[in-house]
Amino acid sequence: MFEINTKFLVVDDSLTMRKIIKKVLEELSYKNITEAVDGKDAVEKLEANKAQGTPFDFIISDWNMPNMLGIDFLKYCRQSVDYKKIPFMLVTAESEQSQIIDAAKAGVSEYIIKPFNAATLKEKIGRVYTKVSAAQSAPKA
Amino acid sequence: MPAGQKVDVLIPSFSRAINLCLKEITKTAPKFNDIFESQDWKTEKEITVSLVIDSTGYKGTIYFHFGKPVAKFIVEKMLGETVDENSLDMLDGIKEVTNIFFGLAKTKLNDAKINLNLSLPMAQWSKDMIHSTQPKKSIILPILLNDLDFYLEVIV
Repeated sequence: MFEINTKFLVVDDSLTMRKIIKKVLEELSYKNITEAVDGKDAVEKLEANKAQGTPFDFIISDWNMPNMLGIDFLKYCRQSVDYKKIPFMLVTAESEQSQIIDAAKAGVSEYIIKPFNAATLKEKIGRVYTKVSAAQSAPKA
Repeated sequence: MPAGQKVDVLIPSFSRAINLCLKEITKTAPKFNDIFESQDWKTEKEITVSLVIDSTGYKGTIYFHFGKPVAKFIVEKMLGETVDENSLDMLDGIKEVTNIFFGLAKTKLNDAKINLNLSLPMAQWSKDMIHSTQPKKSIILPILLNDLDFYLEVIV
């Protein structure tokens, strides 16, 4: 799994969902968790943490939010030199094929459908870790 | 598609979504009572969550009306902690549950080639709702969860 000091950014306009995700992360012993209320707030927090020299290591974001959708926040990150490699998990209640394809094209690391339980979120984080580890150990072309 | 037919598709889609979501969150299966139609129906429940439908050929509003006991039951099961039934956390929690209903229903509707654009849900205390002076016809689905009732109302 990711190191205990991994810095998570949890983005959701719902306080309830942020609490649920935070609780699962804390159960996994992660304590370094920052919350953002929408994509716009998340961008500001990404920039602020980068400026302080403490960039985030993992983003978990809702899809359907006011101000900036999760998919647009994902695209923003993937187009940025600084944030394009941060593992990014999208959380959504919608499981339409077209939406999943859009997320995959935009470079999502994992996709989790609400309602989910703690075991599912833990499993998805584990899957992201496996992908990240495989990418890091792959020989460079 | 006429409004009546839209409702015929909307209600089963939302029913499936409610069933799936509440079974996952509360580990309790909701029971669906008979749908009824009413003119100028008003809820007695304390919390109302509204979703505005704005799609080509169909505009309307979907409401969920929850009493505090059922809302508290669902939100506490979802959060795994106690929630003050008069708090904003309660409103936020039940709004999120409705958001999940909507997301699951939308997937089903899209599978049926019905693409409905719905707003983000808005939760409020029912006493603060501003009621339209225009006459309205509602289709209402009463739902029972853990012997506590709530309603899905579709304005056609």
